[in-house]
Amino acid sequence: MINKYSEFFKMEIKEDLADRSRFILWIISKPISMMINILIWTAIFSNSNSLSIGGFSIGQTINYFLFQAVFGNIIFNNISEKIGAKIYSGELSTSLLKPVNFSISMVSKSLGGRFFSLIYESIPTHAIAMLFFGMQIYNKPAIILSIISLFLGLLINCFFSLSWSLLYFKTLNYMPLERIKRFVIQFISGFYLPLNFFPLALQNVLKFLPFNFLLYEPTKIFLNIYSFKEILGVMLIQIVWIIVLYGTFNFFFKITLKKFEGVGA
Amino acid sequence: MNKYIDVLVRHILMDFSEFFSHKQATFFQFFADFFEFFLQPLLLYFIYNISSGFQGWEINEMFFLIATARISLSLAGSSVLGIVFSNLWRLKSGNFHQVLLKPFNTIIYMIIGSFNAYWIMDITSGFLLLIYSIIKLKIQITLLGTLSYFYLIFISLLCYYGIAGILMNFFFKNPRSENILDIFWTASRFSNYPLNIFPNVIKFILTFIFPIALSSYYPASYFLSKSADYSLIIVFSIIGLAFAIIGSYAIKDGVKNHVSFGG
Repeated sequence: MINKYSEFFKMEIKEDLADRSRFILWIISKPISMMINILIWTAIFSNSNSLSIGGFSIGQTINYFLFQAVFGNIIFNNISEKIGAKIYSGELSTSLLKPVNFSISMVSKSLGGRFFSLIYESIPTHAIAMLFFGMQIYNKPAIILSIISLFLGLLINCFFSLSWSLLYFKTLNYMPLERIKRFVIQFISGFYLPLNFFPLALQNVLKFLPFNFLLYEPTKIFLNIYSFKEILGVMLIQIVWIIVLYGTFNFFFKITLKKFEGVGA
Repeated sequence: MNKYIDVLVRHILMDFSEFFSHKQATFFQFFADFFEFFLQPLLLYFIYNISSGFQGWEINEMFFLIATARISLSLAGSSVLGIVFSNLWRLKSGNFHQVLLKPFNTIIYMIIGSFNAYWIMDITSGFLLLIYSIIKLKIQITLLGTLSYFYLIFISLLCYYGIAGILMNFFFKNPRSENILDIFWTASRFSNYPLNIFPNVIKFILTFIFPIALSSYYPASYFLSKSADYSLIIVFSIIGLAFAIIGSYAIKDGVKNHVSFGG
């Protein structure tokens, strides 16, 4: 059973390895992104009378963005985009005929891609961030726990993306909705701005959604803000969200498939 | 000249016709564009809510700056910079020779053919934010400031043309390396922030080497009367001209070495 899906995992790594230029360009573009964030936040803090903004010191804020730049790519996947393309071309029917669980096979591929990303993109960029941008590691176990939490975040995102892709069965032209999904997730997962910089009312609403467990909470684990007990609490909530989103997807997927014509656009 | 206008008009009509042929998709596209664009002012609003923001720039001035950056980029995207987006797939699939076979000047045809209706939404949202910020700022609009503003946006188009030429030259030789565009998009983020917050080396790079500041910071500074040194406009004109020459040369060189195998 696991063997079957591990092949999807390996297949994605092999596909990613075929395009080595992506890895080199990542190493060039990420430091630019890190530098922009450092300069922006240094400017904002130097113009501020307070030593902390939204409860974060300048060091924590810079480390927050460095962590996002280095490891943030782990949680992002293109499952819904791939499904959208399959629906559009009519290829989905062929995929559904294969003797594997469709959603698990998609998630396995995504995990493979993100594992590749961790090894080939995050680790070299981490070295750059530490050497040139002064990225701090507050606590060694915290970085391992934050990466585990990021992979749980990835699973949340995978099952959310699967659920979101059900909309593409109705619209066929999936790209605009895919863009909306990407921006919404980046916005409310704390990719652009830590969520504690958001207005309090919005923060209270976001607490009841799964998105702050994608990136924001794992980054807080990295910043050593949580105790070990609190970290376990975060991971437990992440597991609950994975189960809820997987169940939601399966329920609606069965209903959607009954009406699916499979002809594409 | 008439034949180019004719081609441009036909291309625009075809593009709009295609754009509005899928009404549902167009609606979602509009929504996605608006959402994407207004995300940044929203983030700025959050930042200014909890801090003093950037030195010497109040929030509505920042809105004006990012609106300018968006207008310049989207104007370039639907014209000079669009050369890259519309021809990259031709290079990848080995179909670029179709452009060369047309009885037109290659560069002019490439610019005309790069019009894309999808950028209209970006231009519109940019102007909406621009108008909003002008109303909120209650500034006195001067003729000199306004002329400088639009002239510098035109100069920034020349600079974008130069960048597009350099990118195209690279793609002619490496049609599969489209990921290099990520570096361009990442670096273009600089245009959303005032130049005075960056160190001198970065200021120099963003003015002379990768002159993205000409597309936002400098036009906004003249319009908002933050800069009164109009002699700099001559320097910016020279930069724009230099980039236009480099861009043309880079495209010609790329076309000369083009082997049409695809990627």
